[in-house]
Amino acid sequence: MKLAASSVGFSFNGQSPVLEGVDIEIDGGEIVGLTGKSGRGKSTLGKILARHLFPTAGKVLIDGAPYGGQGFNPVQLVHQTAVFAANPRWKVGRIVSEACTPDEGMCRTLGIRGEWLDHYPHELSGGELQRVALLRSLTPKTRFLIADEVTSMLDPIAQREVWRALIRICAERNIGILAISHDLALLEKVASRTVWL
Amino acid sequence: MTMAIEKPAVAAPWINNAGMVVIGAWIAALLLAAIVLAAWLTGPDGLTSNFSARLQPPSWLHPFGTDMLGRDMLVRTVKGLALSFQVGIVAAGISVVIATCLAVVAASGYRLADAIVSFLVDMTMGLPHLVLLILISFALGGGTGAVIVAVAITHWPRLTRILRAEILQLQNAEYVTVSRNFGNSRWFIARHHFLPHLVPQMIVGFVLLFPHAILHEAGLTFLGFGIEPSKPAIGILLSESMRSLTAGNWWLGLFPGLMLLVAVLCFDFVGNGLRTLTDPRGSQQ
Amino acid sequence: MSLLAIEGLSVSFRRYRSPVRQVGVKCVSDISLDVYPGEVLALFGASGAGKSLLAHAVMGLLPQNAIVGGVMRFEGRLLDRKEQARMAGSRIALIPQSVSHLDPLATVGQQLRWAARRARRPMASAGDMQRTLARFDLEPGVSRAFPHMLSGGMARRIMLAMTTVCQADLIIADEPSNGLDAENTAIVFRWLKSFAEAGKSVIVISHDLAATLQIADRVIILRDGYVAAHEHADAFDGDGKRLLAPYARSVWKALPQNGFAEVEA
Repeated sequence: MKLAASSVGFSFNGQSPVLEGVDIEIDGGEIVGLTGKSGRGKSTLGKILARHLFPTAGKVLIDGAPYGGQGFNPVQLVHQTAVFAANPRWKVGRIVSEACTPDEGMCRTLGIRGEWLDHYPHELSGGELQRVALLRSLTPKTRFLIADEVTSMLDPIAQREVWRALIRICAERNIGILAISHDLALLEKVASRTVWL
Repeated sequence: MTMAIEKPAVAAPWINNAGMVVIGAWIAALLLAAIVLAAWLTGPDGLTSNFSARLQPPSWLHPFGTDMLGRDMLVRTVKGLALSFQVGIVAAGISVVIATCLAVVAASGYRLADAIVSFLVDMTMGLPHLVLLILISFALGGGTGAVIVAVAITHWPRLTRILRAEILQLQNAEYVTVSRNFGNSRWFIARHHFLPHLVPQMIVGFVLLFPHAILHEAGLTFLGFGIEPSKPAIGILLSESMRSLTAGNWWLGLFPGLMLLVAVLCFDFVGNGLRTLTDPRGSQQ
Repeated sequence: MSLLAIEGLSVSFRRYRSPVRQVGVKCVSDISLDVYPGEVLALFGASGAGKSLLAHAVMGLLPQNAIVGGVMRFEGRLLDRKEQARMAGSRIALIPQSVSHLDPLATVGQQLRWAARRARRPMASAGDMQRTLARFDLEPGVSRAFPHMLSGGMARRIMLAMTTVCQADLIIADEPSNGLDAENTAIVFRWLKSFAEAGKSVIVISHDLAATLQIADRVIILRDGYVAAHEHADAFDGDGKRLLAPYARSVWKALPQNGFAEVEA
């Protein structure tokens, strides 16, 4: 499978464009890094690829065809502030099962502790929530993961564990990952190539 | 060496904000049950006139005294409260339903619908409360039904505003976008993501509207625009007691008024407490 | 003598487990540390390890349901509520995590002036304002902007400016590199280092170990609310052999720069 952005442009309400004529391609099974100065639109591009935002110009194509919009979106987005991506009235156990029941192996790989499932999102720390968000989005139907600064809030040991898990999952399930980050050393370690915005 | 330790100033672990509200809720529920039960049990017999026992001050036989027709004031007060509660519940319930429907319409995304609802909200809130109530009740010919309708159609604006704002905020929530991207239908999202946020607001709205409705019913009846004088509504009791004020029959007004006050305060307290508690972040108090 | 001395600090919170029951949740336990003038002390740890709580405890900014134990001393004097009220904003300054800590309804210039007034060193003229902004490479026009108009880097520099305006002796920077790219992070950290070089004490709270090590003199690593390691910054070098605590060594080797490596137990 191939995820591609073709001449994508985006601007807020007629102001000067945040993105202009951007092309990017991600194949299943590869990890592509995306970096650049802050304010250049990296997160915006990530949101457009995952259909959290719609581009004002250009298209997002999966295997050459624009995505229909129905059913499970094979492109999932997880980003830095996971706390807002969780319904504050749902317990964590319910949150992770929203798309599908998570399997044991995945839970262990991402370091999810059983007692978290009984808590509410605001009772977990940022790092713990991040892992919960990743678990929720990595369903069998997920083909691409947009990881926007997913480990920047984690300490180095946790960061290593999560990326090791993501690399393994990427290889096992042939998922394409777009890793958006400021940390060039990290991208050098995990991504096969890096795109600069 | 002095230690700068601060111990929390709590007497017992269960006497805290949430505890007080739970206690209040139990008292309110018991009060409600007791009154409705008592009213049902005494039946019409308690209201028979007994001219030999007219206008007696409180005693063991008649804890709230008797009125000018010799009827026991305790029974009359209890029945009156039960009637007021019934009116209050129905009126508050209808108000909540109206508020929810209008809020959904306003937040549906159509600018015109939102404009119309907002205009109705502003208009209803802008007109003097009591005048509207009297007009509507009068136009519908008075009686219990008229009071219910009058109270119901004047008390929805505040809750509508709250629910509308809540729905608009929810529509933009990130977890809603995520849920849509999981392929979940609009109904799923409305039922599982929106409703858990709206229901607590609706409950709080109802519990706070309820004492309000009772007071208005009492007021309308007191002024003569409400429930028929043959039924023992609190408003009737209070208006009758006014006539006997100068004659020194203090118990005719004190007890009904006091019972009304206790009931209203109780539900108000519970409603306000619930409002604080329903926020899951309220666990950090 | 140390500027700030913390002995056995612990912070717990009263939380509701069910509608009626309250429990105490311990978040920070038995922390002891000293900060000296002219040095940069790094407080490192994962999110949830208690770093920000420590900063808030020093500043007296903990929420109502917090229970604090232990002793804190500033310049030898006991740092209780009254002393905190005097020191916070004038002798001890906190650079908060995000621009949302600024008042969204006031311009940047107004907020700088308020900060100066709070520290009892009011800005006398427009020239003062220009000089303060220029120190951080900010144009004079920025003083008319509202917080939401600022980019992440600019916002961080405004908050640094607010710190200098009150001329505090102890500066606590809470996650100063949050949301900044490498270039802006380096700029902000350089400024923090310059405060220390001018004789102030700086505490940098961060989960970005690599960037913090560029300017830190000593590093304290927090883990689950405890002090897990207390190291000299230059021990974080090469193989990490000079690091005393095994946890510190694990953390150092786990950095992508050091190969995502694992330390044999």
